[in-house]
Amino acid sequence: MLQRESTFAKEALRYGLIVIVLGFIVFPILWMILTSFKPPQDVMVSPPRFLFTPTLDNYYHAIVDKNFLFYIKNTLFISVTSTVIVVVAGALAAYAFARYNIGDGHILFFILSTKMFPAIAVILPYFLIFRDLGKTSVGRFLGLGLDQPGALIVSYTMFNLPFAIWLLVSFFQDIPRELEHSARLDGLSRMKVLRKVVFPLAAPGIAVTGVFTLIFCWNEFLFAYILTRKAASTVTVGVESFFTLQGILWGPVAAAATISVLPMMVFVLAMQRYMVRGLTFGAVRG
Amino acid sequence: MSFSQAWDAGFRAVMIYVGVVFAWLGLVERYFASQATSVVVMNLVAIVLGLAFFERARRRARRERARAEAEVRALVGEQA
Repeated sequence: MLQRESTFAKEALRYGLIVIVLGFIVFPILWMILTSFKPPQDVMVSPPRFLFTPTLDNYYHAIVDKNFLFYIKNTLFISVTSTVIVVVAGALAAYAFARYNIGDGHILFFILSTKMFPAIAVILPYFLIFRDLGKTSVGRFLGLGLDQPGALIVSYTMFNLPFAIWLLVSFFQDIPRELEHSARLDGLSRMKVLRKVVFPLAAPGIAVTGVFTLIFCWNEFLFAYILTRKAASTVTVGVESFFTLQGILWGPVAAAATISVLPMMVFVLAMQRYMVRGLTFGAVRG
Repeated sequence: MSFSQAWDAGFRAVMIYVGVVFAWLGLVERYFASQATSVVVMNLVAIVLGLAFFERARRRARRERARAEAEVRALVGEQA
């Protein structure tokens, strides 16, 4: 009987802790979602109201009046393009670092060092580079000028590539060289070995890198704020556009933020299984 | 049910709640004469669906654990 009570107490404590931790993590998201359903008069009242008549007016304002789906479309294009470039270039570079020990580790460290300074340190040179590139015919053709998607794609690629290479190097190092040697003995060319043996084995790691890169690109604000005005603005800049001279429209801000969070949330939930497999990939070595 | 399983199921249950609210306000509420009644019914439906999902996840986790334990017992029995 005493043992049963002790088990119950342990379970209650465990679930209590789960609820508290879950509350801390989820509360800001819940608050944002709650605010997005509130009518204007209930948004800023003190004490906050948890019981109110929900409405979709804020979503209507964000989607119809402010055309927020335009920002989603821009962000999707920029993030996906940048992620594809980062994953492809990062995988090839990481494989070379993992197998051929290029630069004896020095180049790999140099690549990482480009992540050591804050983005604000390079934003002015980037601004000047893209401003001047946009005036050239090649820059115009590739959409590399200010307020064009190419500028953000290049910036995001530059900033995420070192992270991707570092993440992927460890995944490739965990793949036994013997598998590649066997495939070579079977007559496969080096590129075929890469395509048919190495990349499928590193797929969970590549998926994790892709997911993280996509999340970084989707949530980035500084580059998008400085390098775009209207035509290539992303969701983070779109949310900021609700900060008007008349005041901050908190309801539409929350609605826009919820809309911008949802695609990533659904995507991450769908990729969760691969992410867990990728993050634990190579954790146990024989 | 492990911590991470409960976390995952809880978060998904909240997402189900929010999804029901979205769908209800956009599609169902217009069929109610009183908005207050609609809100009450909406919350009830959302809570029931969220709890049902959590309970389903809990039962599935228990089943999986029982199956894994049975497998381990069988293996240990074979070795003995």
